[in-house]
Amino acid sequence: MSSRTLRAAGSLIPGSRDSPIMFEKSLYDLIRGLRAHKGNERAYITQSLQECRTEAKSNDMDIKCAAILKLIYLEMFGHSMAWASFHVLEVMSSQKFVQKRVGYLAAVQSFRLDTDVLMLATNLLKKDLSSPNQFELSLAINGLSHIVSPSLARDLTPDLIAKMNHSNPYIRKKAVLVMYKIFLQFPEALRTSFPRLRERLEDSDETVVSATVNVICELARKNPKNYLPLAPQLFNLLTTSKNNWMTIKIIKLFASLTPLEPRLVKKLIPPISNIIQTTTAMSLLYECINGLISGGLLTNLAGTTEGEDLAVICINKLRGFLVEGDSNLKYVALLALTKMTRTHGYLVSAEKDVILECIDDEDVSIRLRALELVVGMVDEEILQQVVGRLIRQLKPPTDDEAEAMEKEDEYDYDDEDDDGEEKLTRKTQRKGKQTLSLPDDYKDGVIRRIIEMCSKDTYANMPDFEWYIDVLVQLVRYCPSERKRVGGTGHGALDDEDFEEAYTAGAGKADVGEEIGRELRNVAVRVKTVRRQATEAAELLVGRSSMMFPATGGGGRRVLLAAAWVVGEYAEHLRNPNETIDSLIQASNASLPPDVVATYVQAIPKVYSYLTSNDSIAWTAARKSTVTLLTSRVIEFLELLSSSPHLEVQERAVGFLEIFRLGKEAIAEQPANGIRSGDTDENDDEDNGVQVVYDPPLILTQAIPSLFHGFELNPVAPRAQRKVPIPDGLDLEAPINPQLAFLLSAADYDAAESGEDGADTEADEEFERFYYQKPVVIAETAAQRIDRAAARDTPAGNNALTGSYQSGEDTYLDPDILARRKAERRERNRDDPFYIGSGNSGRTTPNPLGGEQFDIDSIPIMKLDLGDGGGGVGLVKGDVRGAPVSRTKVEIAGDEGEGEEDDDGEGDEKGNAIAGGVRIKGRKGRGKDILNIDSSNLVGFSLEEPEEDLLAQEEEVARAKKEVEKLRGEMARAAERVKAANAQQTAEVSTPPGPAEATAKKKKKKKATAPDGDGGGGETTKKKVTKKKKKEGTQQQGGNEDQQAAAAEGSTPMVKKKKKKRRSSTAEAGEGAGEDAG
Amino acid sequence: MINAVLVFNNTGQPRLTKFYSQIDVALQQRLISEIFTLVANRPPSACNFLPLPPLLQKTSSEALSDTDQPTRIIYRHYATLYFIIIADDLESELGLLDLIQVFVECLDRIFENVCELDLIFNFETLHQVLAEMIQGGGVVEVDRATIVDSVKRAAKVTKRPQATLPDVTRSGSPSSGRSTPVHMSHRGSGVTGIGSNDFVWSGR
Repeated sequence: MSSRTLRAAGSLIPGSRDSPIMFEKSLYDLIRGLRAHKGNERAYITQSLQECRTEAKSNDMDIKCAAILKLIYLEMFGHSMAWASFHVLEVMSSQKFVQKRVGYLAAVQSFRLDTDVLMLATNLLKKDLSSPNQFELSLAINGLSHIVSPSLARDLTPDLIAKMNHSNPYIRKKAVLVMYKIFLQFPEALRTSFPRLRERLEDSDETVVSATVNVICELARKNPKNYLPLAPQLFNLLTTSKNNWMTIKIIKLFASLTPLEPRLVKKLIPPISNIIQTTTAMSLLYECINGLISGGLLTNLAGTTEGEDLAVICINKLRGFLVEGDSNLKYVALLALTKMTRTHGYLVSAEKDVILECIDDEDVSIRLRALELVVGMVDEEILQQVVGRLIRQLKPPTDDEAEAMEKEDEYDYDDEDDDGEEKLTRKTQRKGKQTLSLPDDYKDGVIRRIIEMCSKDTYANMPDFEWYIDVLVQLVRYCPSERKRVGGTGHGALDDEDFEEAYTAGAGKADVGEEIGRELRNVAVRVKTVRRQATEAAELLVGRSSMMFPATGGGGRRVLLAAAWVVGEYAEHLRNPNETIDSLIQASNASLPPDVVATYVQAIPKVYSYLTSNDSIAWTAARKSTVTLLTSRVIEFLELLSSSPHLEVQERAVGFLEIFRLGKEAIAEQPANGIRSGDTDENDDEDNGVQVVYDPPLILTQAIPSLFHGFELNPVAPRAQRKVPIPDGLDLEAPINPQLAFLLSAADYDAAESGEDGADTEADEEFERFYYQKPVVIAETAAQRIDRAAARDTPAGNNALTGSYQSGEDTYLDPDILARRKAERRERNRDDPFYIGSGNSGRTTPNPLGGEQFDIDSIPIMKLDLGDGGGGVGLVKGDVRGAPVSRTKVEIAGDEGEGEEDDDGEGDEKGNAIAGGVRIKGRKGRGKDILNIDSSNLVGFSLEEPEEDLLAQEEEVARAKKEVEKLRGEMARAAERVKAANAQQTAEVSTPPGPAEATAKKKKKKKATAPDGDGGGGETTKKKVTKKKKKEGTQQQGGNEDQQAAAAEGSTPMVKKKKKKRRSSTAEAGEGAGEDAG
Repeated sequence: MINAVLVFNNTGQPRLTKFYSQIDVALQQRLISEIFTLVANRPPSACNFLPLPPLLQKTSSEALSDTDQPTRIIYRHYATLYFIIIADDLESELGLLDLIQVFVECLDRIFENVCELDLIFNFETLHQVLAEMIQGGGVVEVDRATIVDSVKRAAKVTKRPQATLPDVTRSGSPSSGRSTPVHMSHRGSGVTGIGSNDFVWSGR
């Protein structure tokens, strides 16, 4: 060991000079050793820990101290030193300051509330708190601020209160600050120390004042009411202070006070606006604005010119932050603006130019903030623009058009996305582009935000649903790949373990793909005019599922859950139902997540029924064989699933399997046209000739469709059922069938029906997601519609704030989607007289100069169907594409059963609260609240002792006194009686004190618990009472009991026994009180 | 209230961990690694505020109801070290940024051209400096001179001049990190607009 090392070690570990030969490692050696053992640190650490264990037990304080210091160092790397707490305490009590300091540091780092040696620390801390050395004193105070427990707080409060008046401001500021920690553990200390705390606001030393403000600021958040009387003092500080840190705290403090005392607002405005105008410190400026917003000052002044002026000033300053270029200022400005949207949305919206720029900021933190803000301020005008920007972000940075075309053909974006993740970053780095590799959860968040924005207030801001459907399809392709939750391993999304896993992984919510699916379904159900488009989009997703969502966890696969449902429910809108059913019954579908498969099983018969139920198609041999083939294939697929390990899938598959088998039989028996066979149930239309016409089998035309044709599904609010009054005489408690158990055992036979039940749950799920949405009918003027149509077809160009977004569309929508949009647009505009087609539409504008050649017959005559244009619903029947201009109103179906009562909003909140509650519960269970400081003690804690408490206590004391008096008299009488009885019969054995004592005990318990409402003061009085009673020699309750016992028995209990009883009852009473206090 | 102060280097090795609420050691480590992952992926031009790591994330409804939750993570990157502060919303974001700056400057005054190695070998001193600035989650002192003075005077109580201590370790330490003193290479742009260049808190 070199001399250098020794010196270093010596300087760190005092006392080591006394023992020149060191066998133990110092901290220095440990660190050097760690650095020397790169690679196998673990083994080295284990060995060192082992050494520390023995060293900590050493009698030599230096060695012990060195061991503890090493342990603190290793604790930093995650090696708990909880086992060493006793040794830590030993080092803490060392006489040498350096060792003491190590001890305190160890305590600070390793002690927890449940560390058992904590209760041994009281005296040590008391001693150190009275040390004349300010550094020892500060060590103890600082240590206490970490390790304080309720009992330590209670015992040390007087010492600390004294220290708040210490002559040295260095101690005063620390003593003041530690008081907050004391209050957290022992709120009663607040009452005794508050006057002194208040004095500290006038302290001559600025740091002490600052510490005091700090403490009051924390306290005021828990219960602002208590600190309103301090307002004048604080106000004075606000106007005179030159300390920015403290000013910030005072402003935060006032922000908690103003909601309780609106009069403060007027008073605060001048000094705060003065600071805003004059300060050079950005932090103070920001906190002033923040204080104005979060303290509700702006809200309070809303409407007045003064308030508006102030708000405008704030907004201007924040705008300055945004354009300043400093990313930190940008970030905080966005935070503040987000808060301001609640009260001054219109002012914030005016700044949308700079805010929207932040969406594309290179800093993800800023993007997220901006996104949050934009969601709040988005309206019909900018929705498409914002969404376009966001989708462009999600787009993988391959701006090469050719590549995009390739992708269109292959449809394996997600696949590429997955293994391209690494490449992607490399590529961008090579190119030196500013693009960041976006983390998956950011993508996830963006998609959710887009959906949130678009669906807000039941699509109040949605200008164009067809565009929305295209966006949704596009989003599916950009879904980040599924993490953890791989279908087929568990029971799908509903599986608890899976869910939990996803939860801890930070997902927390439903899969993004599922969310997108919900939107698609939502649009399909609510907006009838685009139901066809929605269905076609779903068809596309289902049809290409195997390519778009490879089994190895491509993202967004869960969109199929809703897509399959839409395909089934609206089979009549399918572009190509034959292909769709083909893709539904592909064998590979069995590997999809089970809940998706279950939806598939439900969708198959619906599409099947659409294909086969049409009885106007002649039942020819060809038809028969097609249907037979289809049926067989469906059966084949369902048979595959009928042994699925997932109950839901299995149950539905088995149910429908039976129906299809019946169908197949019926088809086989039903002869086709032209062939004479015999015995089916309807064969009326017989010709005399050879030709015989048969209808398709009834099971296809009647039975299967009847499973699904009923009323059209409408969105129903989940609470709608509640509004249905329960009919008289309906007893929901009474068992419907007393033989329930028998029925359940026989339920196996009803498997076929369960399929239908499945449809019901399907519908229920469907309604669930309308939970938070309110019905809104949005209107769109024809002018707007035309404007947009015009804008859409202008060539790419201005990408400015308003107007054309179409130019941007081709940069974020994939080419295939664009091509389709274009085709649709052309189709739609064909009959539009205002639309000038681009190609040879065959129609020319009449040329006024060439009047002669003008042929009157060539003027297209359009039939105006006035009858159909009446209401939005009426339009549904017509071809949507044919009547674009007349679609001035898109009807969005609201939830049925809503809007009848006013409490809907409230109910929503309630629902939210419940959902939140459940979540909180889940979190708590997982110990998620780390870093959280438990301040529940201080919430609602009043500085004043509650008056009713005092009154109650006084009353109780008075009552107790009275009772004692009364009892004393009775006791005296009883004693006399006993004396007399004793004189009569000395040897008689008294009866055991059975029932009488029992009742007495009960009474006693009641007494112990009943009157004492709140712990604290009540408890102490009670103790006093007890003491008094003891002094008097006759315990109140004991006496009472004896009295009763005596009265009940009417016999002559012995004095000796009585005494014993008395003693025991005293103990019990004490216990009762103790319990109560606890 | 400040919830935690962390210092770790570019590879995520902790150099200082101070939690102002008592949490399990294993959780501490998890939190550190989560924050490190967040911070390590940030470009130098990004802002100094981190999103909450998964461990601290709350759903919005909770965040509203529970005001004691840590809501902000502020970091600064100096040469090889990240300085992190986790705090709730009663602290000022921009203020905490300056607080980190004050911390680093104090260290720089004590160690004279502080570098990562100083902090490794004198981690007790590191704790002392921090304790002079933040006590139990509350800020006690922001004046650099006072902080440095207190630490130095406390060291004198040990009857051994503390000021020589860094030199001892420094002369003996390997010179790997020596060339980049922390204070020389901190990001200059971080405090744009926040006060003057001399970082004296009360002067802003």
